[in-house]
Amino acid sequence: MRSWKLAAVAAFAAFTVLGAACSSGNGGGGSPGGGSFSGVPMTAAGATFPDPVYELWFRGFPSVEPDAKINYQAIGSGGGIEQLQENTVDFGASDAPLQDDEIKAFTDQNRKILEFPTVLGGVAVAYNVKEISDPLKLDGPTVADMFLGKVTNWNDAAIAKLNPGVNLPDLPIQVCHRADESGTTFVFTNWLAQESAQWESQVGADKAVQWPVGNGGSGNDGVAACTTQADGAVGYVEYQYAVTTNLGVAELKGKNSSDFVAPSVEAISAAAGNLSLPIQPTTNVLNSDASGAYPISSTTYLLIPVDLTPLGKDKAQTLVDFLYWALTQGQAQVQSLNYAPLPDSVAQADLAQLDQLQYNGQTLAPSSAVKA
Amino acid sequence: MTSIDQRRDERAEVPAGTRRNLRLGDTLFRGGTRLIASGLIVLLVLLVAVLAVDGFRPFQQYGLHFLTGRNWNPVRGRESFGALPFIYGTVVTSAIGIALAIPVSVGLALLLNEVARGWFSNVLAVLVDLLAAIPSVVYGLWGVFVLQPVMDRTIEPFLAATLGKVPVLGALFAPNVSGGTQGGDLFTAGVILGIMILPIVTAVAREVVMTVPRDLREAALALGSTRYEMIRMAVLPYSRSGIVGASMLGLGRALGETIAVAMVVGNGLGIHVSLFNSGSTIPSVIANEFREASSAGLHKASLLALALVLIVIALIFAALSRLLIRRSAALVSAEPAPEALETIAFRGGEGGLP
Repeated sequence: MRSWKLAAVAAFAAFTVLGAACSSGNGGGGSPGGGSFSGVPMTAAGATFPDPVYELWFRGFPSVEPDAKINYQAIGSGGGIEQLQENTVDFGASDAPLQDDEIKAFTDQNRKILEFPTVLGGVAVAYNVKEISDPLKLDGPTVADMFLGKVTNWNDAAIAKLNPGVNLPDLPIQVCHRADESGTTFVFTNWLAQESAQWESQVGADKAVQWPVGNGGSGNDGVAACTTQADGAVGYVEYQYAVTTNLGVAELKGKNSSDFVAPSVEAISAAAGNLSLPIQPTTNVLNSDASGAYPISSTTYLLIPVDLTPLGKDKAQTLVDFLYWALTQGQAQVQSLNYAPLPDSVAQADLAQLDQLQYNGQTLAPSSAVKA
Repeated sequence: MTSIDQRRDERAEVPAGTRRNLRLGDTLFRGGTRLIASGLIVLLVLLVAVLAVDGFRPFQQYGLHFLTGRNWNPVRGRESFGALPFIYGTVVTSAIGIALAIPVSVGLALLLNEVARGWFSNVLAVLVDLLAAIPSVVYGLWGVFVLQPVMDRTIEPFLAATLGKVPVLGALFAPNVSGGTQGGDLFTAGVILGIMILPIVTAVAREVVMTVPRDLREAALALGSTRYEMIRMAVLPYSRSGIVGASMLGLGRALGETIAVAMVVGNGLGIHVSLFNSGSTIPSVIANEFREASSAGLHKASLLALALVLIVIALIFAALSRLLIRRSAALVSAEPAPEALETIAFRGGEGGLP
C-alpha cells in the first residue's frame, strides 16, 4: 500500500516538474528579448461565419511568427462586440458593421474601434429538381414568393418567365430553411426584404424569422439534407457548402443588377468592388451594384481598437503583423475553403487603414518577417 | 399502502429499549440517506424555481395567451411568442409514439414470456434491450437518412391513399400543405419516438407479465382455455395496471426526447390537422434556438417558459397515470394497487425531462 502511494506521489511530482520545465521553455522562446521578435498569445471572439478562415489563419500565422498563438472563439457577432466592450478579448469579429449605439458605447469608454473587412462569402439558393439540368435563373421577388409559399410549383409562370425554353416539371416546391439562428439566415432574409415588399412587411429580416412555410434543418448540413431528400425542394446554404453538394444552384438577379449571376468566388469577391473605408454602420455588400457581383454576398469584419497601448508592446506588434499577413498572404489561402478573397482595392484600403493603429501614440510598422 | 403498513409492523417488533440505543452507524446512515433524499427534492424545487423566475416575463407580457398564441417570431422589433404550436407538436408526436409502441411492446412481452422458449426468446430479449442502448442522436441520423425517405416515398403516400380516404379520420392522413408527403413531419417523428420508447415499455411490460401468479394461469388452463384465452382472461387483466404504468414511463421519455425529434420533425411552425405536415416540439425548439437566443428581448425568456410548460405537461401526465393505475388496479380484485407500479409510473412522468 505505502509503496504504491509513494510511487503515485513521485509520478505526480515528476509530471509537475516536467510540465513547468516545458512551459518555461515556451515562455523563453516567446520573449522578444532575444533580438528577433516572435509573437505572443492573444484572444479574440466573435462571428461564426468566417470561423473556418480565421482558424486557418491562426494555425498558419505561427509559421511566420513562432509562438504567436491566437485563441479565437466563434461565439457570434453580438458576443464578440460585447466581449470587446468588456475588455475580455484583445480584438473582436463581427459580420455586421458596428451600429451607432455600439460605436457610442465604445466612445463612452474613450475608445475607437477600426473595422477591417477580411473575407467575403455568399448565400446560394440550392434546389433539388432532377428534371432541370441547366442552372435555373431566379430573381429576388420570385425567390421571396417561393419562401412565402405564394409560388408553390416549379412550373409556376413566374419561374417560367425567367427561364424561357426550359422544360419545368409539374412538381410542388418544398421549402427548406434553417431551424437554428444563423448569420446565413440574416444575410438571406435581408436580401429577401430588399427584394420583396411583402417579405419585408410580413416576415422581416433577422438571424431567425417566422418562416411562413417549409421544413427547418439545423445548420447548413441540415438544410442540405432537407433539400437533398425531398424532390422539388429549395433551400439556402452558404456558398462554400453549396459547392460540396450535388444540388442545383440558381443564378440570381438582384434589383441592382441586370444579369443573372451564378455564385462563384470571383462573383462574390466582385460584390465588394465598390466598398470604401472607413466602414459605416450602413455599409453593406448585399445587392452590390459592382459589375459581375453576386447579389447575396456578405463580408465580415475584424474589430481592432485604434489604441493598442493597453495590449502591451508585444501583443500590439503581433496583432499588426497578423493583420498585415492576413490581408496579404492570408488572402491567397481563403479560396481553398471556398471563401472569397477581398478585391485588391479593398485589401489596399485595409492596409492603409492599418497605419491608424497606434501604440503609445506611434504607428507600428509591420515587422519584416510578414513582409517577406 | 401495504408496504408502508408492513414497514410500520416491522418497526413495532423491535423492543422499545433497543430502539433508543440504536448504534451510531444506524443514526449516520439514516441521517445520510435523509440528506440525500431531501437534496433531491431541493434540486427539483430549485430547478422549477429558476425556470419560473427566468421564464416569468413572457407570462407577464402575454398572460395565458402565451399558451394559446400561435406566433413565434424572434425578429427584432416584431417579437411575439406563443407556445401553442410546440405544445401541439409535443403532445401529438408523443401520442403517435405511444400508440405505436404499446401494442408492439405488449405483444413482445407476451411473446417473450408466454410463447417463445429457449434461445430465440433470449436473443430477442437482448435485441430489444439493445435498442435502449442506441444514443438518440443515432436514431436521429437513421431517421433523417433512412426512415424519412421511406416514410416520404412509400409509407405516407400509401397511408394517404388508404386511411386518408376514410371520412373524419382521413384528415389526419391527408397530404400536407405543399400537396405531398415530403419532408420531415409529425408522423415520422412519432414513429421514431415509438421505436425509441419500445425497449423501456417492453422491459417493464415483461416484468409485469411475469408477476401474474402461476395459479391464475393454471386455473385458466384447467378450465379448458387455449393459450390465447388464458392470456386474454388471466394474464392481461391482471397486468393491466402495470402495462399502463409501463406506457406512462414510455410517454415520459417521448415527451422529453429532443435531438432525434428535432432532426425529423421538420421544425415548421404551423398547426395543421394532417400529420404529414412539419411541426415542432417543445424540446426541439429549445434545442434549436437556445444557443443564440437574445436575452435582451423575450426570446430566451420564452424558451425558458417553454421548458416550464414542458415540466407542467409531464407532471400532468404523471398525475393522470397515477389515476389510471388506481382505476385499473381497482378492477383487478386479486390485489389492491401495487405500490411499485405507481412508483414506476411516477418516474415515467419525470424520467423524460431534459
